Amino acid sequence: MKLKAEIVEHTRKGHYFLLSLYAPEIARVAEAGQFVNIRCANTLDPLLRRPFSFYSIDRDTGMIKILYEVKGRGTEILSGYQEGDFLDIMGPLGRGISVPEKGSQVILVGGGVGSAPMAALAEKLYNHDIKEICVLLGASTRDRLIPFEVFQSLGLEISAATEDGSMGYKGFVTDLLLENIERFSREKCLVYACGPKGMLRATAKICNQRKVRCIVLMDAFMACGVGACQSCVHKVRKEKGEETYVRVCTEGPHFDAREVVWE
Amino acid sequence: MSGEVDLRVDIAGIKMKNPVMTASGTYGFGLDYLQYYDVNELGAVVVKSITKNRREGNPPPRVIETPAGVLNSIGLANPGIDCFIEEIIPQMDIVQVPIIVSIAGDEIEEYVELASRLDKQDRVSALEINISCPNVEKGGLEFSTSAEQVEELTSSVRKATNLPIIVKLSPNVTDIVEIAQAAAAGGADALSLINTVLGMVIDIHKRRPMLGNKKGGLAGPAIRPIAVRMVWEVSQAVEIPVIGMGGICTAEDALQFIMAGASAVAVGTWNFVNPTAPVDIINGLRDFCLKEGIKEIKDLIGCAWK
Repeated sequence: MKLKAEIVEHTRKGHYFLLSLYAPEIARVAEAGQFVNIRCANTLDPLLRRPFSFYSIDRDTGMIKILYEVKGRGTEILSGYQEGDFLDIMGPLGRGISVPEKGSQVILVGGGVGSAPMAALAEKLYNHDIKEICVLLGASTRDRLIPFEVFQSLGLEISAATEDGSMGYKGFVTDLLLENIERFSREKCLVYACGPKGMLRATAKICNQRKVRCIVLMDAFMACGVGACQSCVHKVRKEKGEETYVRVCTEGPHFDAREVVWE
Repeated sequence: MSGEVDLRVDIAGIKMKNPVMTASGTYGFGLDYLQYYDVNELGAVVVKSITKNRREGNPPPRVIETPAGVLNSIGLANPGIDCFIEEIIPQMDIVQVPIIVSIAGDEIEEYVELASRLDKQDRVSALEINISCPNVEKGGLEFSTSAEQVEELTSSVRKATNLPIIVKLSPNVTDIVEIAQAAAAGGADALSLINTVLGMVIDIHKRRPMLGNKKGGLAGPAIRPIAVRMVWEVSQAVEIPVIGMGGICTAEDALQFIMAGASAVAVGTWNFVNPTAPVDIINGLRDFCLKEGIKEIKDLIGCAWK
């Protein structure tokens, strides 16, 4: 759907911005792993909407939240909106992540602002009785780690890694994954990852070696967000081994890591 | 109120209840926007270009945002004619308005084969011949820049089908009027213009073109004045109707094309930004006519020439 949503809260969180929107129609049906397409400017330049995954979905209050980084002109303009302003949003778009079978042990791996959908996913899994969740967050530096509050409120185990060592382990989040994955059961463990391509690739490799199932959430430059334009494609390998492009917006944004062709 | 304005247009025998259609490649197969409005409010649906064989399309990145525009190089990604006929046309049952199928190929024979196969499909109302995709190695642009080739291609397709033929022209030519006349001479029933304008963006950090395919086609509001000018020139030089497109976002934009001589218009890139744009434009055209005392939208076609 396409609608105007009121900004209820818009605050800085370290290097990022947290945007809370009142959009009950979207909150009612949205699932973790999906996204909204926001029109950041009411002018023709920048032209396209910008996709943002859900950081939080609250069906009861009708609130949806996104956590974003100012990266270019679209997000720069977005960061200027105030509480009480209305934003033109489309969503929910993409496929939501379904809850794995009972008794699954989950590792959430997030890199930088890509960690945002992990918060919505943690809430969803927790509310569906998947409580054994290990959260691994990485970033270049301390203020680029996403807030821990959502994970903390669920009482989850959190480990952080920063490349400069300003918080937590000094190194990559994938180092933390290597260290932690050993203590999980190969059969019950499921890894979800979202972040930069290099991080996703390394995560997929670790999981593949450990024979642990891994789901990656992909990011792509998008035009339509609904499957029409074929812009946001990523290469995947189908069962028979042939490689094909799939649309991140509609066939994703999450994919089984074994299918993804890393180029 | 709607009864007071007659928005109907007839393009080469395609009866449309209003002059607003979707531009090929921006609307999939008419099924991606169903949750936003009733597709049957449109004048017609133009589907993504179909080729003989399935095409994976070009390597990403396939699209770059530019000032008031989008540079794209999708590379005619499509499932191929077999899948289109067997799987997609049945899914398009919900589309009751005319379906115009865009076809593309590397050789004249490929266009001919596509046309003769689609000729037998009841649900297909017309063919749009995409001779102007700038993003594929062969065919495409080669056809569109030579008047002789355009005439030969059009007349070859003409012999293969009784469906109305719309030839989609490229702006990347020295004289678009010459190409338009060649298409008309070859038996085209209508013309679509413009396709995208060839362009490039360089990533200065990588010191390489940004698009996976290096060059791409510029679309969106940035190209609108080019398109309006070309519609103006072509529509006065040929007898067949012209469908105008290139950066149309609003009813005001659509009116510019109609007044420049377009008998119908297509919404392209703007579908991505405002998925309800086509219906907003239809309503806007009706409002404009009501306000200006225009009884039939046809009366506005080419009114800027005088």
